[in-house]
Amino acid sequence: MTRLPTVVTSKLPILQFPTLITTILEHSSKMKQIERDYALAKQEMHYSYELEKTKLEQNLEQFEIMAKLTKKQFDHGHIERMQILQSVTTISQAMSNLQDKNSIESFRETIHLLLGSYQQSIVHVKTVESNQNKLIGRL
Amino acid sequence: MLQYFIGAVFIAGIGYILDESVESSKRDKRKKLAKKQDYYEEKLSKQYDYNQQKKRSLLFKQIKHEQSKLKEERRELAKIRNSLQRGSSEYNTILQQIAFITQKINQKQEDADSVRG
Repeated sequence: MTRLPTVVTSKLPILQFPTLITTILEHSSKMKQIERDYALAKQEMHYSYELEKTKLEQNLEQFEIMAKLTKKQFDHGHIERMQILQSVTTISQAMSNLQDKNSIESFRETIHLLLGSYQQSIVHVKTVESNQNKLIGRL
Repeated sequence: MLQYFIGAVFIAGIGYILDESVESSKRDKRKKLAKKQDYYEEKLSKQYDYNQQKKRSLLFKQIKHEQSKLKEERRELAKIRNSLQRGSSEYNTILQQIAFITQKINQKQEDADSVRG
């Protein structure tokens, strides 16, 4: 573009050269500005993409951590409840062989106490469920 | 005088051509940026879909795991119930617990179905 036909430039009045040069320089500066703007916009777009991608990855990571924690909570409660129930099984089996009323009564009280603990532990499931519902809500 | 006129026309022509090339370059860059934007949006959308799938699968497995553990508890409760005297207060408490656990197991099934979609 800057290589102007010699036929014309050789006949161009000397006073019009500055206008021509200014036009060319302006064009060159506009083109450079376009390149700069493009590079900047491209970079911004890339950063914004990377940011969104990181957010998504972190979101999944947090979700996985929460899910693991909920599982741990549930499993802990389950083991506790199973131990209680196994104790109740043992006591109830032993109780069926008893004849003495006092002993039977004391075994029954123990069973009631254990079942109370079981009930308390099952309430814990609600907390786990509430955490799980939060996770379902985050889907 | 004629030379000035020709010169002015020539410079105007050059100016027009250069302006056109600027506009064309702008259009070209805008097109490239739009293409890049589409590319990034598609990649993010794929990542989002992957996340959702992973979350759903994770939750589904967890819910099914909990359901199976609750079934284990229900089996244990049923064993206890069978060894207790029918109508006793312990027997009735166990019955209540079995009903509660059954309700939880059914709830887990509903949750699993909703997560699986």
